[in-house]
Amino acid sequence: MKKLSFIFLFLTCFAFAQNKQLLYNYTDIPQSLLLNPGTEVNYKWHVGIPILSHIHASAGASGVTAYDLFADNGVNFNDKLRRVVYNLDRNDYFTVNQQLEILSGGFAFGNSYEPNKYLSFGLYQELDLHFYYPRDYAILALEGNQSNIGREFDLGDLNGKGELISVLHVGLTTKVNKKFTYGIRGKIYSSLLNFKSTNNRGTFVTTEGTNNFYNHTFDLDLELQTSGYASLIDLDNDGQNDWNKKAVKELRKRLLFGANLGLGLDFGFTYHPKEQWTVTGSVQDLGFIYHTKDVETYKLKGEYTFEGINPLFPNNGSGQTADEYWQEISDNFEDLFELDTISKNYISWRSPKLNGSVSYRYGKKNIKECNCTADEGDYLNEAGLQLFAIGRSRRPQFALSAFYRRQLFNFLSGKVTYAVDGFSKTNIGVGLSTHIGNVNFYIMADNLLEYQNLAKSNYASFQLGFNYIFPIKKK
Amino acid sequence: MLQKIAPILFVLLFASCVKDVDFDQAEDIAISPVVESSLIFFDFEAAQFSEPTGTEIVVEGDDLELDLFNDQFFRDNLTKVEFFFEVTNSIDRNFRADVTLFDANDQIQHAFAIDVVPDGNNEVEVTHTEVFEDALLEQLTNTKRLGFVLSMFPSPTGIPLDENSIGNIKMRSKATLFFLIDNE
Repeated sequence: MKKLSFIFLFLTCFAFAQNKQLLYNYTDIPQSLLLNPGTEVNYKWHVGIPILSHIHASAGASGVTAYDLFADNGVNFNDKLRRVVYNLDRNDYFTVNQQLEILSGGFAFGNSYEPNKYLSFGLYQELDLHFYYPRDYAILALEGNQSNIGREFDLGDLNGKGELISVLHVGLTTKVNKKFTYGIRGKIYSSLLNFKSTNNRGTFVTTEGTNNFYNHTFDLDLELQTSGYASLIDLDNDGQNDWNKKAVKELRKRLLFGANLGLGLDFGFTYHPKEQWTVTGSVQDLGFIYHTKDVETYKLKGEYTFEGINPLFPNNGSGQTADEYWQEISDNFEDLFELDTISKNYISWRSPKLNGSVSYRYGKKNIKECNCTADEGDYLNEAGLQLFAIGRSRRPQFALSAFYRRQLFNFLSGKVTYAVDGFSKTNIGVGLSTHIGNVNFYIMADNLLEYQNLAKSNYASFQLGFNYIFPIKKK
Repeated sequence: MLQKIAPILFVLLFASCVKDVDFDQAEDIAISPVVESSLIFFDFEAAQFSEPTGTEIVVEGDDLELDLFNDQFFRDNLTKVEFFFEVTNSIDRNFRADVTLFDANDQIQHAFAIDVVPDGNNEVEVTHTEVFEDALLEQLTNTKRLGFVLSMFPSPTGIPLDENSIGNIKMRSKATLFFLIDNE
C-alpha cells in the first residue's frame, strides 16, 4: 500500500508530458534539431557534452493536482480522494516523460564555401508513461456495486502504456536556399522495457434478476502486453537491493541493440515565405518497435452471468447431478478469471508528435562601429505561434503556444512561451541560452506561474544541457 | 557525477517549491465499498415434491463450497456481512430452511434456520437477515462449506402431495459485504 501510494503520489505530483515548446525552433541550440530535423543550422559543428547535453523531464496530470489530493487544509483525505475520483473524466490522463542524451554531435558539409548540409547524430534514452484515468474501476472500488445496480462499468477504462527505450539516430538537414530548409532523421529504437494495455474491452454490470435478486454479468476482454519484463522478474533475488542492482545491470545491457528493436522517422522543414516570416513543421517518432524477445502477454477473456446457486437436487429439473452443477459454476468462474499467459510477438507504436509554427522576426541590431544595421537575418526579436500534437491511444492531445524570443546580449538569448493545453490554460515558460566562448548552455522551465507552489500545478517540465558549438565565422 | 547532480537538481526544481501539502495523508486512506452478490435461489412447484406417505418429513439439501471468505483480503478488510433471504410459499405445508457453516475440519461454525408457516394456498412471504459482525464474522471467515437443507413437514391431514397439488415455494437470497479498506 505504501509503495502504491508513493507511485500514485509520484504520478499525480510529477506527471510529465512531451511538449517542448521552449526548445522548438530555438535555432541556437543543436537539440532543436531533434524536434525538427529541418531546423536551420547556423554553426559549423557541435558536440554535446556527454550525458549533459540534454536533460529533460516533464510530468503532467490533466484535471488534478497534487494539491487537490494532499492539501494540508484540514479536509479529510478521503473526502478529497472522493472529490478527485468523481471529478476526473475517463479521458483525463497522467503522463511522465524523461529524456537523457548520452552522446550527440553534428557537422556541416557540402559546398565548401557555404556548407549546405548538416549531419547530426546521437544516442539518447527516453522514458515515457501514459495512463488514462480508469474512472469506472475507481468508482467500483470506492462504492462497490450495491449503489450501482444497473450501471455498466466500462472495463475499457483501463488504458495505459509505458516504455523505456534508447534511440540511436542520424539526421540530415539540407538547406536548399535562403528560403527553404528540410531535414530527415532515421532512428533505431532499442526497447529496454515495454508494457501496453490499450485495447481493453468489456463490462461488469449487476442487474435485477428473474430467479434471484441479481444477475451479475461479466464480459471481459482485457490484455496486458509486456516485453523485457518476464526476465527481470525471474532474476535471482537475494533481497531487494541485490535485485535492483541486477535489474539495472540487465537493463544497461539492452541499451544498444539489446533486445527488441524498432525503426522510426522524423522529418520537417523551415520556410521563409518572406524574409521576416518563418513557417516550420515537423513530425517526430513516426515509428514502431517490434517485440519478439522476452515477451509475455496476460489475457483475461470470457463472458459469464451469475445469478446465484440453486442448491436443491435432483429437483431442479436440469437432469444434472449436484456435482456436475457445481463443477459447471466453478469452471465458469475459473475460465473467466484465469489469467492466460502467452508468448506473443507484438508491435508497439511510438506516440507520434506533430509540431508547427508561424513567426515573425523584427528589430535589427544597430552596430556602433559602422552606424549601420546588422546582416540580414540578424533580427533581435521573434514572435509567433506554435502548435503541438501527440498521438495517444484514445485521441491526440494538443497544445498551442505563443512565444517571444529575443537576443538579449551577444552571448545570451531568451524565449518566453505562453501555452494552452490539456493541463493548463496559463502555462508560462522561460528558456535561456548562453554562448560563452564556444560553450552553449541552456535551461528551460515551464509553468512558472505555479512555480511558487508546484503542488498546485497540473504540469511541470524542465530541460537543460551543455554543448560545444563551433560557429560559422562571420565574413 | 550526473547521478549525484540529477537528484539534487530535481529536488531543487520541484520539491523545494511544493508547499502546503502533506503527503503523509495518504496513510489515512480508507475506502468502504459495499458489494452485493446473489446467493442461493430455488423455485419448486408442489407437484415436484415426491412424497410417498404424507406423514414423513421430506428433506432436500446440498452442500456448497464456500471458501471465498477465507481469502486473506476478505479477512483483512471485511467489517460486516449480511445474508438476506426471502422465501415465498403458497404450498400448504410448514417448511424450514437450515443453513449451517462448516470450517475446514467439518466443525460447525454457525447455524441458523428460517421457518415458513403457510396460510393455506395463499402466498406467504418470510424474510430473514443474518448479520455477521465481530465474533460471528470471524466464524464466517473460517467457513469452508455451507450446508443447505430444506425440510417439508407432513400435513396435518396426512394427505401426500401429488402432481395435482398447487402452490410453490421460492427462495431468493443475497449477500451484502461491507468493506473497510485502509492502511492498517
